[in-house]
Amino acid sequence: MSIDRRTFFRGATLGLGGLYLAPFIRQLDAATAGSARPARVLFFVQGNGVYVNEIQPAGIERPKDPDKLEDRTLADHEMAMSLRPLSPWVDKMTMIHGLSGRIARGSHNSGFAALGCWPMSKRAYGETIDAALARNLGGIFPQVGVGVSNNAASMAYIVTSTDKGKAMPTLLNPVLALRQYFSAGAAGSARKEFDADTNLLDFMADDVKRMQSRLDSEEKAKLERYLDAFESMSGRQSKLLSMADRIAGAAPRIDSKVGNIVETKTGPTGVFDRLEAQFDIAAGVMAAGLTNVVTVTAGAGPDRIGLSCMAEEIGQGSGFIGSHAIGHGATQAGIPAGMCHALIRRTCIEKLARFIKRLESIPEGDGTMMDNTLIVYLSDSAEQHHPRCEEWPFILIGDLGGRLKLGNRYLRYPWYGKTGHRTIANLYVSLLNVVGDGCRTFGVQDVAISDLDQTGPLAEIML
Amino acid sequence: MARTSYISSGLLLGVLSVVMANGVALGQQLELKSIEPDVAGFKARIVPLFEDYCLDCHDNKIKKGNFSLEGIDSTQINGDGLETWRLIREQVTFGDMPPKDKLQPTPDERKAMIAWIRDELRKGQLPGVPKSEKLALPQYGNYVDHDALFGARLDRVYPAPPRLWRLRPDIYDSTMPRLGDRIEGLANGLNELDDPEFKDYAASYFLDEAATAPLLGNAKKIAESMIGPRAKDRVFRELASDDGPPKPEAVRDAIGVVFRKVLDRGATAEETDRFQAFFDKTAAAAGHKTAAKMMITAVLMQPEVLYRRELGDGKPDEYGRVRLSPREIAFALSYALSNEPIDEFMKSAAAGGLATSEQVGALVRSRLADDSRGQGKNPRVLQFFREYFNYPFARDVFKDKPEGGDHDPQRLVADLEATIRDVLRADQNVFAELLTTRKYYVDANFKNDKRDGVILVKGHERWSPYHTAYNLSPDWKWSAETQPVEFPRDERAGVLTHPAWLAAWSGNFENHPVQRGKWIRTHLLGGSVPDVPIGVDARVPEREHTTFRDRLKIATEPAECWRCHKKMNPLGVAFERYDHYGRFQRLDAGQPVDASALISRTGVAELDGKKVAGPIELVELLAKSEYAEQVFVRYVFRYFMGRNETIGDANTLQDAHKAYRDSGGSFRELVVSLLSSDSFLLRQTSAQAGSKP
Repeated sequence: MSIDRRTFFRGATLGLGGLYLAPFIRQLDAATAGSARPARVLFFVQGNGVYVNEIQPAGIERPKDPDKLEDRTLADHEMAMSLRPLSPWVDKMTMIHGLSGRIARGSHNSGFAALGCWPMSKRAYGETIDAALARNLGGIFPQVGVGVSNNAASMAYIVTSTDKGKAMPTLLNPVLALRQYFSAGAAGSARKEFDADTNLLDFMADDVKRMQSRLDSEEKAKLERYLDAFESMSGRQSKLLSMADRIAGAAPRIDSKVGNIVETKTGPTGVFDRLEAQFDIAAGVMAAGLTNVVTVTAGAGPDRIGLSCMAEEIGQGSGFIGSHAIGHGATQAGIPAGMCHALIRRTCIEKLARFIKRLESIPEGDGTMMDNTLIVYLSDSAEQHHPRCEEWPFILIGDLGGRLKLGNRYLRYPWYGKTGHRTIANLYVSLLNVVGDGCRTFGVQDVAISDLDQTGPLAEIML
Repeated sequence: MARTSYISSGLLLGVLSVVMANGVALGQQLELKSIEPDVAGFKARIVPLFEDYCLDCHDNKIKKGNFSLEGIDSTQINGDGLETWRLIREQVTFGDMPPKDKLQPTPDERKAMIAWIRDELRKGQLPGVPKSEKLALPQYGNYVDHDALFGARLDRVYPAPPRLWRLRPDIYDSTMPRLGDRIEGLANGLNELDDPEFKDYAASYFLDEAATAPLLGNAKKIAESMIGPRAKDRVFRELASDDGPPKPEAVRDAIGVVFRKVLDRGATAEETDRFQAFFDKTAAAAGHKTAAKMMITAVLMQPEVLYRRELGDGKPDEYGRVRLSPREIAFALSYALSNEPIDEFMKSAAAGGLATSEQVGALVRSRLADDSRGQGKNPRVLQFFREYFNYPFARDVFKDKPEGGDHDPQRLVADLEATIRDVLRADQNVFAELLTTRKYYVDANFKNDKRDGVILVKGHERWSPYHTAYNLSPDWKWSAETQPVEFPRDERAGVLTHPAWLAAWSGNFENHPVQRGKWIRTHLLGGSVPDVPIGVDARVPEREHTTFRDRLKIATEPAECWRCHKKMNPLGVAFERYDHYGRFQRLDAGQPVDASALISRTGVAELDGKKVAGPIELVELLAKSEYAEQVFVRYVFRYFMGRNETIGDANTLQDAHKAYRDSGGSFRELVVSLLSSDSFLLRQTSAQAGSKP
């Protein structure tokens, strides 16, 4: 590995790295000792923009409609420009190509279906893979969803659901996310406010009950979830309080400016600053032990088509770059579409690399937090702007604490419909199987290839 | 009644008797208590028919079409078996089953089976009957039997139970920031469904933790502003004063003021005590300033703030129906027409001016009067048409620019809206006008001019071939005198042939006759189409020199597809007369366009079997149909009531339709009738539902 994690840990050069201080690390070690290794998963869902042709490593051919599984090492091949920020971790990296996800096909994105494996139009149709892993891995917050989008909404229901009709939010404003997850660790007045909050939540729960008692059953049920909200937030307060030091130690510094989201069709976007902050939040919630599953999105979701940005933000000239326009091959701000995609992706990947460094800077057991973490990078539009979902590229980093046979690998499965072909559902089954969930299928099977076995994990990545 | 049913007229379910008063029939009475499934009837009347005509093929052994009737549960007709039973009824009604070459039931046997299923289904369509969550959603509104709604008159309206209605985001966004001083950047905690259906339905939303967390953040932000240094109210400044904690009386005063500001009512003595205790407890832990903020936050998070209450007040009438309180009525009327409390309604409530339906009707009528070109006085009126036709969705359907032309969905939507505003302003034959007007604005913009008031100007200064979307020639010149532009009768007629609507109901590259057909089936013909079966990934095949109509046929003609597609495709293909940008076309893929269409499977004699040559004929026919007009009234009902109709709303729907007809097709009179109806103003309490005086 090219990076000395101890350097990152000791030095304050990375801002957040310096905050990971001794007391809570001792707790972390204590928590780890004697039990199974921790397991954490981060999903990074890039909206419309992980095009399979644009991320191929140098020197690895992409035969058309292959019949055979290709399984080779990755380390000797130069990464595509957009993925180069991941080069330091090539030994931990696995590219999986050739999986299909036709069931999820949408016109520009597949929203919940990308993590759920069902028809895109069904929206929150069941349990998505991140929610399923969260259910198995547990946590004060079983799953945390943060992301960025070009619109100004501070939250959206776009990729994660725990059950049919139960969509989970993605917080799109890092300042809101910071407040949501780290208040217990705050000092001074913010801490007093946390205590006052506990008071308020109890008072509100009492108030909602009072109103409920005046209602008939159906309307009473409507208030049930509102009551649940206060009761669960209130119940969590004491747990959070007991972890206040650890939360304080892990809390990222978020510039309040990134919380001012201005929505314009052509203006300054700030999407990458926000994405960086969201990755800091992601690292923070994991380091604080608040969750084991984080889903980070960038321009993803049923009504999104990737990220638009200013050319300055990707280090090239000036002017607005519209995500839909580049999807259709238009030159934007004087930059050809392919280059726009690559640079947008690369800028996102740089933020992901920062996240990896963060996790590597935190010792855990005899290694670091990153050793017990798996990153799953995908697009919610599969392989192209108008996806066919016949080949859905995935990039995995890490091996989930040695639970999976991953790292320095390039896998490409036989083409859609051919013997040995596998789907993204099989990848998701693999992830679930290694955290103790014995499922054989995930989501809805693709009827168009019902002659193929779509059950079980990807044998090639199982130990 | 225009609808002549194929099925026997049959008595309304559970009708006890015709209620008479002074020798005059008041209508039929509904029996709400006998809603138990008719198991005996099923065994005696239906099972023998299944045995004689169906089970040969549809038993567990043969299971033809993957469908078996063996073991079918008659008690689940309004539960898990709903779709199955609806399918059986449809197949038997329209003669799909038994197949032509098999033994056929006699006409009386067929009628008996249809009538039994219909009566059982109606049990699930009564007010107050617990339904699956699904049936409470707008897309299932048409499941309620049209004949029962527009057939026999009932003795009274049987309203829905009291309810809570989560606040619409628009209302939150317009009312909350005003409470403090220049509050910006409130988080969006109130989600809205993306389906192309009415958004603001009482049954569609709840507040969970994900929503509560941002709302709590907002509430704190607002509270901070209310007690901040620029606070408008002295009591709040005192509450959070730097000079030390407030006196108990000051806290009590502040509680009263914050209740009035936020809830538009004073605090009860019990509430004052409780909030004061909360203030004291918080002050002890975190100081009086934090306590002030938290106390106001707690008021802002009251269920009463985030949920509209329509619980009713006062003594129930002889049927157990209770009237909404004047304050509830004022809010309900305000939010039906606007996104904020409307002064005249709030004042009338306080002055006792909302006591009768006539008073409510008169107030609504006066409020709806609007002669402005912008028709912006009551934003929820235009919003109805947005959600009903769903044309604004054109902005979300991405398309490349056509060669030599332009595709500017923003402009198309704005233009269609200008046309709709004209129809609303005239307020005559609104339904038919919207379906048939040939006068479209093209690139029009209404501007406020200091001297001349609202004037019409060209929407965009820079030239673009935008107007070619309407088949106007590229060198067509814009002028105010030619607006709205009158289009040839064989090219355009109303909203459904407008490029904005066509683009909204199209794909990225192609037309979408299936969705268009579905829209007509549901929104004009009152029908329904089952959900797309899970796992279906049918795509229209690519094929050169073949029209889209023919390619669609290839994709949907297998029997298992056609079972549902026959309800949509024969209607939607009429719009093949236009390309997916909405441009009139004579050729598709080099072949002459066949835009002929067929209306079928409505159960309405005047419509079924009608063949039309193209879209104009289709919409003109539907615009004249009284049945389609009734269906439209049902949609208006749903939008303004925020719920699906039940059989108990029959009189309200009939009255609303009559008000529309009697007024020469005034949409405003239709709304007046609905908002002053017993369905709107009354709620059925559980204790005495359905009982006689």
